[in-house]
Amino acid sequence: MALPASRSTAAPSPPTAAEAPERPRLARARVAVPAGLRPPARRWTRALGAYAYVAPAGLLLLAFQVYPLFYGGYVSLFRWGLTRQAFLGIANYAQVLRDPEFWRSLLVTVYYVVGVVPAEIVLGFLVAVLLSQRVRGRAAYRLVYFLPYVTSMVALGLVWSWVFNANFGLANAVLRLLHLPPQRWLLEPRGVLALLRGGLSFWAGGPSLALVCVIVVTVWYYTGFHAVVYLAALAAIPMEIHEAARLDGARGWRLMRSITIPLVSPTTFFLAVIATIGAFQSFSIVYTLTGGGAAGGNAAEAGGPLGTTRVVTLFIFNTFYGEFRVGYAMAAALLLFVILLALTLLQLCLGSRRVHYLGGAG
Amino acid sequence: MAEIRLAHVSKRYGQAVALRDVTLVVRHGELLALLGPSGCGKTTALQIIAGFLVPDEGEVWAGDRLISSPRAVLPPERRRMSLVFQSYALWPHMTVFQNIAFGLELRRLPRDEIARRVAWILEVVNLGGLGNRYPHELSGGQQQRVALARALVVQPDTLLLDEPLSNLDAHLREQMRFEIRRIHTETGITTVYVTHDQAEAMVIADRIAVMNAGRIEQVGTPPEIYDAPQSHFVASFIGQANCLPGTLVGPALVRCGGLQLRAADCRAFRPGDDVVLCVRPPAVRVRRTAGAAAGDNLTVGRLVQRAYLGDLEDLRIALPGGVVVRAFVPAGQRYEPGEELLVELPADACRLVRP
Repeated sequence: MALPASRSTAAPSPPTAAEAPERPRLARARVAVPAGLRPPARRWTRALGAYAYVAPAGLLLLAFQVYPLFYGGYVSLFRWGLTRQAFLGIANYAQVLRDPEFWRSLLVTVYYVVGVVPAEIVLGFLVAVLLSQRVRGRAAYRLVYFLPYVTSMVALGLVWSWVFNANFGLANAVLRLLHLPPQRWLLEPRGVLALLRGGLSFWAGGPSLALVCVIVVTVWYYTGFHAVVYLAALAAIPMEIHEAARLDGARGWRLMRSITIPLVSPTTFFLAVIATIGAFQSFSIVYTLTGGGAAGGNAAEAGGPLGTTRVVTLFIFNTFYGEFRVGYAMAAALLLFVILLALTLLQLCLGSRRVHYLGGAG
Repeated sequence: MAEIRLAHVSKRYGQAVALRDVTLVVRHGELLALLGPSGCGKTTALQIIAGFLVPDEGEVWAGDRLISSPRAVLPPERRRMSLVFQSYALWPHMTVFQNIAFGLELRRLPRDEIARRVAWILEVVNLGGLGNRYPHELSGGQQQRVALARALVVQPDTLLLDEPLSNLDAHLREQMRFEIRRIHTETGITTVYVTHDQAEAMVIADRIAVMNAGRIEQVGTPPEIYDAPQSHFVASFIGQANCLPGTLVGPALVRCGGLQLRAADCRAFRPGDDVVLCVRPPAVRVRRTAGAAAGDNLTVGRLVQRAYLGDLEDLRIALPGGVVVRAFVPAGQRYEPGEELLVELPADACRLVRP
């Protein structure tokens, strides 16, 4: 049958019986489904199944992460004590940003993060390098380094608070053995720089000795975790990568600097991000050591000697439970969230360019 | 340049023996291939030469320097050797230039000298202009050349290659064999080349050491290995071979099943010895039974199977006594399965080896 030369806008008239060739009529095929088999599900019913699997975790996230975030935001718009009071709009946020205590706690947090994160990463990496050597008792060493991480942080905090006890603690006992003057440790508000070199103002003296003690305990706690993660990263580097460098003459520090460290950069990046987030959110160990622990006292006074270990989370805690300024505390918490989000995005933006993957496209 | 000598080297992994009493000499400037199936110990031998493994017995010498023994091992970085790995082992965070320049930087050469040498070696391996690329931006063949360039630029005394072409496709592999041969001819570095591909070894190597189960079966030039195999393993591993077990019944006379065949060079054997008679399929002559028959080791067989290979046909022919031989004949003869054929096994192509 010849095709029409041009399209016609008029509807084509049906062919007559004399014009149209006989065409076989195609019936819609109906396939009988054997007994015991279900017909193929439609797309939306398949999706329903997937959502059902995701639902439990999703509901938990919604209930304990997403909902509190939005509800906290709502609460932060009010003067809120034990009950909701006046609507303030963004006045709580403005007040937080004008509060010198908030900024001081942020400074303490920055000291804490700067002290904790690099130390955890560096020590974690070094411990992993040592644990990846073929030495006897390697499994026992790994257990020893990882043990703090699986122990209750509160329990560890209590033990360390006794280690740093000014009168009976192990730390001062060691100093006495070395004929060095004992320290007040968790009760010392002066900055370490001021202790080493006098004449500095209070806040120019750097982090307090009490905060340094908290940093030490935190680093000790998390180093094992970082080491285990780095161990996996080191094991993933093919031996030939190092062998090729050794043949060229690289050894020791040069081998580590030029080859090993760049190749574990994805792990370093990951640990830096989560360690920073974790350090900003740190509460238990700070509170146990210098909040309700060694410092004693009530929630409103938590934060170590002269507030020199009052990190932002403790500030929020004090404001919420000590002063019952719930709306104000929520505003501070959300500001912390925004600061942390911005910092994480900055880390992602700057850090991702320096990450090298073994498979390329670094 | 250096001569590499392995003297009675053995290596064990628990109960498993990777190398058994291996003695081998790699001469100045030659390219010696270690050829064998997977697990034969060739990579272990290479790792011992490189210094990454310690031999349990024996010694390794580079020139007049003892570099490996069970008691002392010279570290790899002090052996003046380079190694091209099967996976190339390029550093993914460095550009091509940086990968190649790394060894030169460790030797504290001036920057302009480094740049000059890197540019030169990139031209040698036909990768000029790719210095700023990263390894993941290169093809497999290009990565392989970068690995080779990195190994050569430091001007080692010895070059070691561990199956460098095994990750390439067949076409590229064939191309790169000639490239490696060309580069070796230009540089003249003493080279040890590990491979399981016999065609690769035949094309690239000056001499081949065939290994099996931790031992060296035979060392020789490619023609020596191919034409005069000294063991059943070498005969069957290198190229195709018809291996007929039999017994030496007289001077150069072997009984194989129901056949009595003449062989070349039986001096290594005495009458009564069990032997294997090896003859290559291309050497087997086949013709139709019609016409006068003259030649060595003539017998009549029946064609069992025929395979068309383009220029050739691969014939499997059943001989009296249950012996089946393969023959490669020019295509176009149109032999049919079941047809009776006259089969000649030329005596000078029949080699005797130990079982």
